[in-house]
Amino acid sequence: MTPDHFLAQVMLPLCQGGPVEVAAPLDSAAYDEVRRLAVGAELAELAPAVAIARARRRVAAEVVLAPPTLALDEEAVRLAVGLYDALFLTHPDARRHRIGVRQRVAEFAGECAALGAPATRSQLIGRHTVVHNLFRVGRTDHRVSFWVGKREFRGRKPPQRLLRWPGVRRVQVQTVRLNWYRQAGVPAPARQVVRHILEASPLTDLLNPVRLDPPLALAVGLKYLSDPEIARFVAYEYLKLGLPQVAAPLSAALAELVGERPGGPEVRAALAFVCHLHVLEAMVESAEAQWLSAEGGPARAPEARDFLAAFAAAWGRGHVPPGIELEAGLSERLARRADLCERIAGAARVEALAAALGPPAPGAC
Amino acid sequence: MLERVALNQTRFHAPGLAPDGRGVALGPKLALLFASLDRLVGFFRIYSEQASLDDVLPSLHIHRVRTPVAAHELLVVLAVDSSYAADRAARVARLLGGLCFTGAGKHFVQYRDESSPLGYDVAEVTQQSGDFVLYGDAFTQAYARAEEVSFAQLLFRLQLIQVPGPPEVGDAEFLYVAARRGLGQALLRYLWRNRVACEAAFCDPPEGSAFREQNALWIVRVRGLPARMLRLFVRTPGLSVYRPVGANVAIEVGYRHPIALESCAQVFAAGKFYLFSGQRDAAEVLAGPLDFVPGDAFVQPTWDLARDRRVLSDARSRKPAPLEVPLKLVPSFAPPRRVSAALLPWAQASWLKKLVYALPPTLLRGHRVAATAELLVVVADSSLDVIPLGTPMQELAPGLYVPVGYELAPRTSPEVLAQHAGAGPERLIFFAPFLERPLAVEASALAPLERRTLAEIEIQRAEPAEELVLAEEPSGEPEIVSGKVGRFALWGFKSEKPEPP
Repeated sequence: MTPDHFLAQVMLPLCQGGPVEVAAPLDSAAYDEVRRLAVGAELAELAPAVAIARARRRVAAEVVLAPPTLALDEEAVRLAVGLYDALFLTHPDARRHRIGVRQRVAEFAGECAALGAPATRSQLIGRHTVVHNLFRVGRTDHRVSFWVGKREFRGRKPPQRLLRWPGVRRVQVQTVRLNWYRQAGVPAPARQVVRHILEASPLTDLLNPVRLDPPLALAVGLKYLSDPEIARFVAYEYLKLGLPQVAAPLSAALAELVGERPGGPEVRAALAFVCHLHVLEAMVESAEAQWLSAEGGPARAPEARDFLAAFAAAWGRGHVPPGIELEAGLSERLARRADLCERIAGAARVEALAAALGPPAPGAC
Repeated sequence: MLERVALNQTRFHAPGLAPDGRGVALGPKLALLFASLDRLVGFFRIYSEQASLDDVLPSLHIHRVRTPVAAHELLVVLAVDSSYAADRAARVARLLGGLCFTGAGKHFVQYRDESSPLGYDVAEVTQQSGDFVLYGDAFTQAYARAEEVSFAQLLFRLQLIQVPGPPEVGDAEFLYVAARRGLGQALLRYLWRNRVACEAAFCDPPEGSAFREQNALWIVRVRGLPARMLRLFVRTPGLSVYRPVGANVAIEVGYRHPIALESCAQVFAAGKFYLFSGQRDAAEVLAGPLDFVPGDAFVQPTWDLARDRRVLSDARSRKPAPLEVPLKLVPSFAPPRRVSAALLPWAQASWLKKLVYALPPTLLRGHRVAATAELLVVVADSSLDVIPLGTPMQELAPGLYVPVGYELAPRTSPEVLAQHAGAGPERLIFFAPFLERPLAVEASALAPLERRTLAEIEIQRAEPAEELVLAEEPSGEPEIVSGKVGRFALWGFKSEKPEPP
């Protein structure tokens, strides 16, 4: 795969969507070629780079009001190469190669993606723009069965010769679209690469809480939630997903954090963020949140308990997110909500989280 | 033989398995297999630090199990209600070399791992006899139950671990000092003399064998024990200092329990008081709850009847002379406050107009202006730094303004001054050296600066324009297209690992 081809057929669709052509993996020599071409090149000379910059800017503009300048730098190329090589590991032809060689592909991909946590806001947003589609990458598989057998085509169309004379040969084609990470049988080495990518891009991690593996790492992402614009975007994304959906993963992450760092400032920050989500939902909904009061609904699931207990604890201690004016109607709604949360989560759990919050705010009830 | 669970699979061969909300195959119980007791203790130690054991204690059973070849292992069976909780337990167990299974009854299948993120199912249920049957990827093994180990028994038998370094009490709200019967009075007197607040309770020895050593104890609860006393008490024979880890549990200072006792409060009965001693390597259970009374009640005070400090006063009250001092504006050396208003002469009105054109709307927001016969008064809700005109004023109290670099004398409380001058949110009072008398502006006379400075606008009717051209939409989600890989595609990875970038 030529560097131009990689930028146009892999990196651009990863950033803006569309078909990602996965063929031979990139090794260090190929990576160097891509880097030499992409990094430092004038945008005007490189058509795919212009399109990539535009796509990344569009993603960044959704996150912050004034997106930073996102150059096609080494970090972006490393993340794209790491993800591409991880995608190769599920390629139907990858199994033809020895497991040791595939392991080396995975190790190289992991090293490409192991950038560590971003140091600046620009890095945080820039990395997210490259891998923001990580959990949305899909693959369309075709299963063709005919009179003497069946064949499966993963990510490619079946040849026409197999589909001829459908009546005589009793041809049946079953087309399934799979989510790459959830359903395509991603092997463990590729999952390790995804872990590295999420460590390098905590914003992507935060914005995709509903997933099977790896669990949401709230301890890492909290640092970046101190930026109001980032926190606002994450909170709005969660509200868009729906609190019933994010309650369980956030709850598990919160329990993990409270267990790891009891009483630490991270716990307070996490509780404040969770509390903020509750208040935002209460502000946008004129009536009570149906999902809280529904018997057998997601709020009754045991894994959502900490999410509810966090708000009850914060409200009981008088910790209200700053900048929110408690009008009479809102205050009553929040009080009712806290009461409901406490009843569902149980007083013991609320007490435990309240202890992590510290002393009550002045004037708390 | 295990089968990997596929997404949306709902039927399983193993009894009790069902998909949870995330699609993970999960049974109502989790079974954790450990080869030795130290690994089991290690599991509880890490798990209790990460999560509350109270949640799992009602359903927790620890079995010593035996294989057909008489090898003994330890099996922990606990109820789980979600794969999140199961993930946590499995992660800790695997960290210590344990194996994790899920299921119901006596059949337990290997819990999910990286190779099969949604878990495993069995191809066929085995007919082997035993109390538990574990299905792993490399074996299927039946176990017979040898005995059940109580968790409480395990907890009380574990030896405390000495913490290196000087005694640390962390952020404990109070400490317990346990003293032998003969030392109690002396300890309380010592604390009273040093003005250390404390409460004390006397505990009779628990009933037991007549041949067992019976010691009655004073339990003194001390808040804010000075560090020097802590060091002294720790070294003093007959005294022990305990740090509370629960409502009725305390551990000797300088030691810690292998398991976080805070997370397993259920084990400790509410009517008793538990002291874990590291020096004596024992756990004492006292009859509780303890009735603490203030420590000075036990101290015998001494009286000196000849000394009486009460002094009689013969001063008589009389009507005071009227005391009035005029308010003056005087230069101040105090650091200036935030500029929140400005008094502009009419000569600067044109400059203000130019500024209104130049400044962005976000900065103009929150500014109000009032035009009086003498001056233009500009007031800001937050800060007036953006309008560098006129005399900058600072707000001493709500509604009371003085020029920056000045203050009012006499230096009484600003609130009192504001009340005296009649200033408040509805009426703003401005003091300035160039004003003969303070200037009062009613809040209703202030209008938003944006509105006050706007001139009349001539409106022109708009005609419908051409259709808007929408911006380019993103192409949707990325879709993998499997290309041709070629015979030598992995040539660069063949010989050795490629150089990292």
